[in-house]
Amino acid sequence: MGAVVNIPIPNISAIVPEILATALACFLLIFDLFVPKEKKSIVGIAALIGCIVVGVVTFGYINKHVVTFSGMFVLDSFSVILKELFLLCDIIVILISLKYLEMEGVSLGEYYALLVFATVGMMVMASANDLIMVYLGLETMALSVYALVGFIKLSEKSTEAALKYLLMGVFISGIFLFGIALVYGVVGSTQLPEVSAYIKEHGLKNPVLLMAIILIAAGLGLEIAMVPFHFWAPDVYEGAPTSVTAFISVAPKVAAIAALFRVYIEAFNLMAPYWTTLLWLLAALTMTVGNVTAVLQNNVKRLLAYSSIAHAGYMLLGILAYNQVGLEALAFYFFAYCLMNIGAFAVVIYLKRENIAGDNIEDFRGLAQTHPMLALVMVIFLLSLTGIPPTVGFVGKFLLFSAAVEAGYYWLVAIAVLNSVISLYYYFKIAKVMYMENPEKRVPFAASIPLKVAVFALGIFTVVFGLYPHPLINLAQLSIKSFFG
Amino acid sequence: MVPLSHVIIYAFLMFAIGMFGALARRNVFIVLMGIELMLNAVNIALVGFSSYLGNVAGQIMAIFIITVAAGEAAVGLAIVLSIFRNRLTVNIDSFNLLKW
Repeated sequence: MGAVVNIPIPNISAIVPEILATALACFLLIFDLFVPKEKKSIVGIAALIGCIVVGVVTFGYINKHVVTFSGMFVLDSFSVILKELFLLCDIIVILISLKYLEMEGVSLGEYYALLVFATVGMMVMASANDLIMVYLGLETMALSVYALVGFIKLSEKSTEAALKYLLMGVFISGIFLFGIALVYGVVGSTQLPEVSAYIKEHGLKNPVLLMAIILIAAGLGLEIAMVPFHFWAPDVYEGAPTSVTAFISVAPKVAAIAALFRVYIEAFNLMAPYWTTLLWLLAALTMTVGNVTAVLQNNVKRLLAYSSIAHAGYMLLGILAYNQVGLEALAFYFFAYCLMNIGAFAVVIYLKRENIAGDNIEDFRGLAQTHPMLALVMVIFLLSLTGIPPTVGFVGKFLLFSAAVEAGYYWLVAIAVLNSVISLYYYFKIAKVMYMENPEKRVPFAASIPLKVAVFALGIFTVVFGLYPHPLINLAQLSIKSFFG
Repeated sequence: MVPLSHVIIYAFLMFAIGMFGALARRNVFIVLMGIELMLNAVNIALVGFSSYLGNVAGQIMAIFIITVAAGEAAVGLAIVLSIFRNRLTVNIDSFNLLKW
């Protein structure tokens, strides 16, 4: 008792991206007050420009390695590249939501502010070097996302999805916190390097730490939508506004995998024999449950929800491989997944018209005849999600699987490959409806120019990076430099 | 001075009661209260560990958690309010529009 606390002055320059993003979100909230009700997309455009500015500023930190706030916060190339990815997700999601929100009748300025607040939370998660920082980032993100999911206040589905997500999220975050409290009780600190140092000194077989590993995996596993914490995902993805679904299927998942990766590699690295067994099992279950259940779905949003559960399983391979190739593959896959998954949801938004949600598989009927270009782009996204060349998804999966083989996980890779075959069936159910069946009646789509730009740009990049993946691979190599000198 | 084991057993019990409330009750408000109880149990554990270890970090974490819990309650009640306006009920079993 009577401990003297020395608070060193933190290095503010390391958190400039977070400060800028927070300032942007606050600015959007105030700016919103001065924009007339029917012109709220101006707020969206301001958010778009703001995100680009923050992204450019953040890129300047790419070669820095700073640990600040008494070791709670780390700025390294890995976190910078993840921050860029989150901002990229933001930019694409803003592009696809501008018109969509008007069609849903909820064109409000808060939407963009909440999106940026969620991004701030994820940026903190990517940089967290302390378990409590992970928790704070997670909650900043989650609280904004709950509100976004329930954004269509008059829709029964949207509010129900928000409530389900909230109850699951808050419940699991309590469990996650209990894990943190146990680590604190054993180690006396929640900073990742200190946890690692404690394990090095005192050995592995502390049952309380083992329990903490499981509880922390549960907390992050919810955001990853890892089996058995995936039950919320299909309901929430279906009920949420489609633009929000596109966002939460990518950005929070990537942030949570990045946090899981940092916590398990940096803090629990010596306990690897225990958590690799756990993650092995969870990865195999996540892939299989996601893919097998997706086969039965007729709602495209729900189908893509199960497919995104399966993709989380593939990404866990990268953490399990725990070698340089595996982490590179993981970083590459984050970008690939962002392009193809948001792309697929953007096509669902494209199909949205008066009184038709556009998320039923029937709405895709005969799309190849009425809108051949759109059908082609959708097929590109589906090919990429399956992992067939010449798309970015193929390169990503190839890298991930080869890394896992190199690390000796032959059985897990076999399971993953079998799962890819299953996924071919349900992805091409959509392609079959588009190409083999005749359209019922021609209804013009009301797609706006930003949405068209986003969909076709994502389609083009999915192919371009599939044929020429070197820029992304270089980025992935750069991002893991801080882990493998 | 209360021994650490008492504090931790108390926190575990409170956590378990909160978890039971969150899982077994059907009224959204009771579920949210159960979850708050879980978070407060964590706070007690953290403060107990903090006093045992003579390290203030745990107490600061507890303050963070109280802040976040307030935010969670605010967002949670807002969502419950909007769902109540749509359905005129707060029974969890009746929120079954999205399934399978």
